[in-house]
Amino acid sequence: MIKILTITFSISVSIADTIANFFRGPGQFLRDILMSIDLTIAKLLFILYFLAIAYWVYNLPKSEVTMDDVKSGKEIDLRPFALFAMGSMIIIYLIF
Amino acid sequence: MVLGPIDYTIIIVYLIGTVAFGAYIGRKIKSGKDYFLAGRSLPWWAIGMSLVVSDIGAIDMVGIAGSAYLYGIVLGNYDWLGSVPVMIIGAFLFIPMFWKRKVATIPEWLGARYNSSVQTTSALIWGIYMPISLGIILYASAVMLNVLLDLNPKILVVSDEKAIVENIAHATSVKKYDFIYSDTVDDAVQKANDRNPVIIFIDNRIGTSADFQKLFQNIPFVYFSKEEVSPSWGESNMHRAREPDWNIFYSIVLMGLIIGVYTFLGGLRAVVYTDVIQCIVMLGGSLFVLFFGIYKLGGVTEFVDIIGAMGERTKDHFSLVLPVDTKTPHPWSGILFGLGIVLANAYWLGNQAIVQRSLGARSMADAKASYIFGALLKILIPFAMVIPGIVALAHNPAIADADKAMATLIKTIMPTGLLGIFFAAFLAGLMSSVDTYLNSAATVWTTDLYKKFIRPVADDTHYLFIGRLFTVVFILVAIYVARFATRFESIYDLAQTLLSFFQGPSLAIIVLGVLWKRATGPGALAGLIGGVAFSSLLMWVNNNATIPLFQVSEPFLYVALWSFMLSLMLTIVVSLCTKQEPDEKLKGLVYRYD
Repeated sequence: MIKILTITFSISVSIADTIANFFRGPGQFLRDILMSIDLTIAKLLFILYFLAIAYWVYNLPKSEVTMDDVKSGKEIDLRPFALFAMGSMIIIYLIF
Repeated sequence: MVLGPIDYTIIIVYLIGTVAFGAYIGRKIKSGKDYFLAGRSLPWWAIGMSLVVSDIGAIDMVGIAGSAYLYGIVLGNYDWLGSVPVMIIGAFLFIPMFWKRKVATIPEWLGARYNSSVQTTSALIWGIYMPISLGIILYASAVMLNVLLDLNPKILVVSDEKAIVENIAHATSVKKYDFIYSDTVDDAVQKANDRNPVIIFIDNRIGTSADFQKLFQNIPFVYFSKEEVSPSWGESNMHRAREPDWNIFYSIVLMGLIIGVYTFLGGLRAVVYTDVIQCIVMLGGSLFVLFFGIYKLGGVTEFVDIIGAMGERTKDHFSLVLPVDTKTPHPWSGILFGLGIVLANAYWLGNQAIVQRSLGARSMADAKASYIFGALLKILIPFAMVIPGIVALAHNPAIADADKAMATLIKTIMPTGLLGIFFAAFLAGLMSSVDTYLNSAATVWTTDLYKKFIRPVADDTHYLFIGRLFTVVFILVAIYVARFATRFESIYDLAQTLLSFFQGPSLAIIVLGVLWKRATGPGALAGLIGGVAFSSLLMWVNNNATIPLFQVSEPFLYVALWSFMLSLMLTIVVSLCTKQEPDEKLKGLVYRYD
């Protein structure tokens, strides 16, 4: 029984090693690319992501960003709140 | 943390108040629709607060502050990058699509968009995951509760050499912070009376066995010499320890029952409205700790200066973006791609427990506004949860167990009476997570499995009965799983890993379902099953290969990212090879296609 378990274990390790080696090359390549990116550029990527969402929100049609208040029936525009949230993100990531 | 009578009063009033409020809310429930979707009557502000507080469990309240103590503000990424942008996208794009269809669950929407097989597979995944997860949340919260209240069974070591504690901790496999150390007989007697240890280890260099026999008549003790401390010695002597007065299991049962009662009575409405109170208590309590903590340091400038003066240890404590090869588990690449692109989206757009409350909104506008309001509240969360961990570091730089950072900070700065406020905030975090998963698990099992396979046609009151029955069953399952977890601590990591297996694939089929008309049922099924299988393969290879596949210790961010990518590709390829869904079926289910 112990022999069977030992053989099963060594087979599973060698299968895992084969699969890992298959992925390791491309994985290391990607890691090297990411490692070469300067932290300032990385931070810029975060900010660009927030800017892209803010731009998308800014360009949404009015019908998709306004709501009628259930009680007063008054029209409320959600866009400024969404833009405020994204603006706050940009400021926070610029500070820290 | 030693609570005084005022603290206990605050906690008891808070707990009774929450249960009573939940029962009061629940008196209007007459049907399954009331129970699962609050009769589609929830306003945006209540959902927004509920969304935020459900995301922050008791474990997070203690664990995030502990991680921030070690790694700094980088933990803020999980709320800022990990919530705010995706909640804005969700508000205008995904949530209106789900709400418009008037479904009760995400699997139900997937069934409408794709086919019955996708619905059932997704429902089974969530239906199995959520009750197990409930048990783990209960267990992990009870552990934190016991740490905060110092309820864990204690071991007293009496020796003139403090380092011996470490050897005994190793020999007995008990965590070091559950030991009390004493170097004199008088001090040992005092500590034995105050802390009620389950066993006392006495170094033979301190005194004779007969002396101690007289002093500690009710507590078993072991008289030892330094040389004999070994694992076999520890194992044989720990059998002599008496049963502790308070077992972790009692905390689990007590919390499970309190939460179970109001969720059983009030359904989603009770969950959301009790969450509103919990959000106020939690945010208020945590922000109070933050302001009071900084005030005691002398102000913001002094706080920043103290952290800055700690040198190498804190050089990244005020940086949100850390290098790829950082020694912390939070490199920018994993944060931006794994968290920002996959896990955050999967959580806020595809997690049944989270999305369900917006499906109970009284109008589509309320559903949208709830996510926007939630995003605005989320901006505040790192100030309430992360920065207090750094404040704790400024106050106490030498805490051995980071999870005790928040408790130590509170003990240092807060007077008795105000401790109860923080403790109520901790309980609020715990209750909001458990009630969310409990109600959601009952909804998935009733709507997507029971209703579909066992009794498709019945009076709505019948589904209310079944929903409540599932609620009872799942709280009992959760208590059982939590008891099981007390013996296998790694079960918590297992649950997190399981979640990362299917979050990526689930997100892939939701995104394609909403944005791409050409995505088909067979494509989605292939993407979902193939993605989950690929995640499992990656994790299996990582754990079994001679050299791990991933270079980080907890690779769930990367596993989620790669399984999402594969799932996306599989769904696209299989969809293109299969027959397109009829246009009539897709109306109202695909973005801007009505």
